[in-house]
Amino acid sequence: MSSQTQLADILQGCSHENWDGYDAKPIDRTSVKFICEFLKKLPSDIPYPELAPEPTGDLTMVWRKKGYHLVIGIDHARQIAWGGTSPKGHIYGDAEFGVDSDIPEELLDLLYGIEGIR
Amino acid sequence: MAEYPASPTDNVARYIFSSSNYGGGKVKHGAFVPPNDYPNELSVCVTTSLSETKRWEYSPMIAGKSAKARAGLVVSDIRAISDEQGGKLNVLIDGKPHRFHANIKSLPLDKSKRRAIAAELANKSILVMVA
Repeated sequence: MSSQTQLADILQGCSHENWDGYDAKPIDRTSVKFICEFLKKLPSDIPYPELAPEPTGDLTMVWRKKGYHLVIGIDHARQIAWGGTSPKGHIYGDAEFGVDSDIPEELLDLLYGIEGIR
Repeated sequence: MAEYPASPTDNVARYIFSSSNYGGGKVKHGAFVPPNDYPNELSVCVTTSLSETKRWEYSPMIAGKSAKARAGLVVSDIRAISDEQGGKLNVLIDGKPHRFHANIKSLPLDKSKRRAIAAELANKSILVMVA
């Protein structure tokens, strides 16, 4: 399923209060905008992620392969927060995603590692 | 009713009411991200002694509608999950709003650590769809 189709499904299913039955917030359009900016800056040799909503209203990107399960979200203050599991245990961190900034090097290294490119 | 710990061998279910929280035969991490109002706990049902039919009957008491699926976990697997400070998750039965109700407790508030825990819970869970 393409990212556009995934996003359309999420916006249709998760744009109202309590979409998950546990008082979830509607998916926040600012979060969607920042994720789209991030995806535009993603190097072409890294496959697009799965998109997944969170009950906090954040849209997230998910890479789940080869023993990794990495979740990346970007909040209102353009702060990227990533967390997940790897064959060696938990991985997590955060970094600023400035308007004109590229994807943080630390995060790119992680994504290349998941894809087996580095 | 005072809270008390679930048995390590107990099975618990996190009811899933949105198709956005599962796919490809797997539970997605979002099913294990708590809502903003209760940011460090997750509602579950202790299903150990319940028949397959009964396992679904308690979901309307949580969300006012029937679940589409559930994420099944064993309590010992949940308690084995710890954050980077060594704090471990727990499962406490509170009996509200039904006698098999429990909460996974001690989830971290930090977003990145919470995503790591949610991903691990999703990895350890088994997706069961309504027949």
